[in-house]
Amino acid sequence: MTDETRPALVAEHVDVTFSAGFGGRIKTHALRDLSLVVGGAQPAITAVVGESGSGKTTLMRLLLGFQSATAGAVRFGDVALTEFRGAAALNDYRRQVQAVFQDPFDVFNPFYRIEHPLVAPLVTFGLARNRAQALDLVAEAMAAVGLRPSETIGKYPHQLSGGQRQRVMIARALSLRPTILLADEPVSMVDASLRSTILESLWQMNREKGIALVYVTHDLATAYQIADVILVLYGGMVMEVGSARQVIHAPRHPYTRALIDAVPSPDPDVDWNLGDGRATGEMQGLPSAGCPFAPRCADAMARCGIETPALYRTETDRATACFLDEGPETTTAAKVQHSVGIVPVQIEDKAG
Amino acid sequence: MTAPVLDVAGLSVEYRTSSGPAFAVTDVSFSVQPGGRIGLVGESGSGKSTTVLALMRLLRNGSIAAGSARLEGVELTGLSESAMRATRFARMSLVPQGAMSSLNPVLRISEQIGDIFDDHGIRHGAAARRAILDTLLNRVGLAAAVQDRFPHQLSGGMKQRVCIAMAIALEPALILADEPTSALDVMVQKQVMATLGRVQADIGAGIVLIGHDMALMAHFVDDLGVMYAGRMVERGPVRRLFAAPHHPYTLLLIEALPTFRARGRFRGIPGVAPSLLTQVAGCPFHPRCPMAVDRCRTETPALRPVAGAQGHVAACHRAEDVSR
Repeated sequence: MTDETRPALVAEHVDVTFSAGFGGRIKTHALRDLSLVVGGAQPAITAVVGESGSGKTTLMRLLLGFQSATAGAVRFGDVALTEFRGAAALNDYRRQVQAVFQDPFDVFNPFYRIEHPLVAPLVTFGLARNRAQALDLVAEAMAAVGLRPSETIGKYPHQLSGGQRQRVMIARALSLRPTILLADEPVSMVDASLRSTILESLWQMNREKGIALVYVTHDLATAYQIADVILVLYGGMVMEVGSARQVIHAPRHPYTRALIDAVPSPDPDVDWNLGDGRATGEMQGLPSAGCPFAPRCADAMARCGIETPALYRTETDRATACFLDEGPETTTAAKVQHSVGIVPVQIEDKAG
Repeated sequence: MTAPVLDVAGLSVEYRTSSGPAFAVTDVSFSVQPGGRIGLVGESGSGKSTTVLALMRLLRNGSIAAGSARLEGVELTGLSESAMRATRFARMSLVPQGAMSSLNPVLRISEQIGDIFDDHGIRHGAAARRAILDTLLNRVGLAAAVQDRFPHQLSGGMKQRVCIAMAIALEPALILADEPTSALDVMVQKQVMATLGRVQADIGAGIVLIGHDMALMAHFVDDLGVMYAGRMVERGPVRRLFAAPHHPYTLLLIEALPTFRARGRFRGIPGVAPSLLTQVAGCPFHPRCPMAVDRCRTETPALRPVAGAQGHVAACHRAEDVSR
């Protein structure tokens, strides 16, 4: 289900720089020249994969309008987030772009019943005329994410498990009929048995209601499970972006390869090479010039410490920022997202 | 067969809460051979961390209600506090979950590690102590200069390595590691697990690894125990458990693991774990179990050997019907 009239959330050549120290002389590049598109005519699922310090949370905050860009712009439809005219346009953005956060324990006010943060915005955004109508919509949204409204509504947050609370958050987002959902590590604090159920709710929102999803995570395996496009961030830069299949099954960037290598296979017979533990070191600050991954990269060359690689297109559905892939055509993550689009699940994907 | 370094039999732990006793661990048994690796896997509230805290005798508001735990033949449940204090680090050490928050922020690394020697009455001259710490830090892959640093000057992975260095400082017979890498990035996790495995093998200690990640367990431990609602529901050699699980919960946990094969395929386990304040009649897993029959609702299954495999036990009335 797609809708040509749905506005897309677009980041165009965005830099976010934080300054610290005397006179702001210490600069940290949280995001560098990032272009990304969410929603619009192609409501795909984009996974943003990165470790701590990669810039993934800054990206979330940027798309939610909590963080302004140092350079470049973020637009919703045709309007930059900083230039909404009037409450109606801002309200429209605030309703259509919803978020689910990492910590299901932290987001609820313990003194309010669980439905309170769901009912209030429904009334505010005019989706319900009164509380009774809002409660009906809440019950409907809860049922859609596999919660029994009778066992949820009227409870306080501490009476629900982490998995239930996270699903309440998704129900809250869903009830506002968004076109875009930004989910920041939505399952990292949820027990393994419930992770799949929550990811499935997100997947269904996308596939059945055409809600575009950005899934921010450190976990490549769940990214592969759910995403059409995987975007790998390191040190605020896109290292590799492409279809989930390309990035996971034929990774090109040395960082992506190291990341995949570090994920333990769920099969004890697949050797994890725990003995060798490829010497990739730890991220300890970023280099002031060149590729941010160069200090940890097994394939680094002299120029990697001096020049910053552009994003080179290697195939129609993939690009990497690595001199090993240097070619004539440079591109942006947004263009790669466009060419991948929504990838149907293949029958051959069935687990062995 | 040699004597196990740790032998836990019928261990039960209760917490006192304002709503009555919470049965955090019920009748848990397992043993660790010298140099052996066992994993305890379970979700939040399964009792895995409580088991470790009970062994270290570091329970807060909780007490060992029944059972025994013998470390090198010595009964831990009956030890005096001073004897227990002499045991910690020397014979049995703990690598805690949050290395970030378990180091003292105002002490240099050399002082924190040095405390272990001091507390066990091991005296060194200043130069000798530095040399010993050098060697120790080197074994966990850290530079000697780290001993002059404060915790805030180290990354998460380095702090966890310091905790591992502390755990092996006195070459104990047993290391208890409670989710040692859950706060670390995935690449650092692999390096820290490699280090933990190497030093554990070096000193020949047994290890109990606590975790929630079945995939990590698959590559680190020899034997795996699966815990649910405070009980051990299945235990056996890890490869055997993955190849032929005999408890529906184990099977569903394995199937819930994301893989690089199955895009758009989701297998969750419906329902939630029971509250520890109430004791579920019958099998604790029966409300969520797709295979439950009437008997499961009334009769609690005991752990019993699975036919055809040494050391593989499962607590399920229908163990023989479970298949991948």
